[in-house]
Amino acid sequence: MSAGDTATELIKDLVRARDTFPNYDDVAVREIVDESIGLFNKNREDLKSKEMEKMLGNDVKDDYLEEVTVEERSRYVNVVQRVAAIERNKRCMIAYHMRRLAKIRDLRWQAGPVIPEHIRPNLSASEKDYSNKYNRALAKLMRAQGIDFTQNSTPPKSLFVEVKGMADVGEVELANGETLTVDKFSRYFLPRANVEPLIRQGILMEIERQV
Amino acid sequence: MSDLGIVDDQSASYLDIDDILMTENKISCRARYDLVDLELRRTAEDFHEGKKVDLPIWMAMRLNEFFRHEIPKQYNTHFQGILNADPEVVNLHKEGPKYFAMGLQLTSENFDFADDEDIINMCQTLLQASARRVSWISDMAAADHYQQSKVDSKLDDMEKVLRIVGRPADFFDGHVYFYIRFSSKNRERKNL
Repeated sequence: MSAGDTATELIKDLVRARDTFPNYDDVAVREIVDESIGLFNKNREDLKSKEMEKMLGNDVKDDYLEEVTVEERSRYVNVVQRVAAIERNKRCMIAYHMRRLAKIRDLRWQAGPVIPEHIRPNLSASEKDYSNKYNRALAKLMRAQGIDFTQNSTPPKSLFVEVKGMADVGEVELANGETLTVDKFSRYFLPRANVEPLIRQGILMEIERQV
Repeated sequence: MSDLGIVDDQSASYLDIDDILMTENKISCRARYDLVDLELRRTAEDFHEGKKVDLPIWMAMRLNEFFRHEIPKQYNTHFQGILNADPEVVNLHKEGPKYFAMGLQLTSENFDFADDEDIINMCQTLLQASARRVSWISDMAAADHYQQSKVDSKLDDMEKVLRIVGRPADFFDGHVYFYIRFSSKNRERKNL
């Protein structure tokens, strides 16, 4: 396994679990950091060596690679290669963490301010902290504006909406406490506020009013 | 290439997961000089001049000074011929799930292929192939659903995203991006 493989695995895991929220891979993250530190230390040693002094000097000619000994050239290649690996690790790590944060934000908009129980253990401590802070900032904004805009994905055109059931789910509870029997053929005419979360989940489908 | 914005903006692609995965694809490289004790893979290896090794694109681009690159066989002249003849039947998913994205990457200056002519022709080929396939996909998307799983297996990742989005206007947008990028690269290479 050469340098950069752990980082690639990390990213691949993220891609494999596109719909679910995978566990924060603490072990892999630490491994990647350790690997990067190791590469950096090796580079530091190499750069101090006498061969490198010659190559990094100010009077380096254009065809310097031809004029150096094999060992010097190889050392240089190793240094470059390790730098590339360190940068690769860095890129994968940043992308991994940013992607997870984006998922946390999406979660807030789809599922509300409480993180579902089955996802909660998959977040690291910092991610939970991020989620709390994001929720608080969003709540502050919505309070200032006076409306809860996570409820409606587009500005609603009317107070009531006609919906039809998408599948036989049986008894479903609305936001205001009432229960509804949903099956494939049922149609209802209800206040939008009660029905919006069900529409978002896909249990009901909104019927466009032909005006 | 889920967000085609990365085509023009270099910094936009840094966090793009698809780009990270695409640059992991391997390219065949040949050493330009004799080298010893290289740690490219697990153990220290010796390279005589001309020795071949498969490296991921991100590494191959950095080691441009020391290695000559070879065009992967799914982009070479022979395959271009196939694409020019009948692009709709080619299974681009098999040829590397990120066929177009990698093709675009190969046009970057960090690569040094033995034959630049090939790359210019490849730009042309990919442009035309993408045009024909995009219109074929949008026809399919508008038509019945039964063919879809058969079509899906032949699409590379970028086309899959286009198909999911599905509206003809979006197809057009995506294609315009491709056209702009490919034709500018085409002109650039010709002037070099």
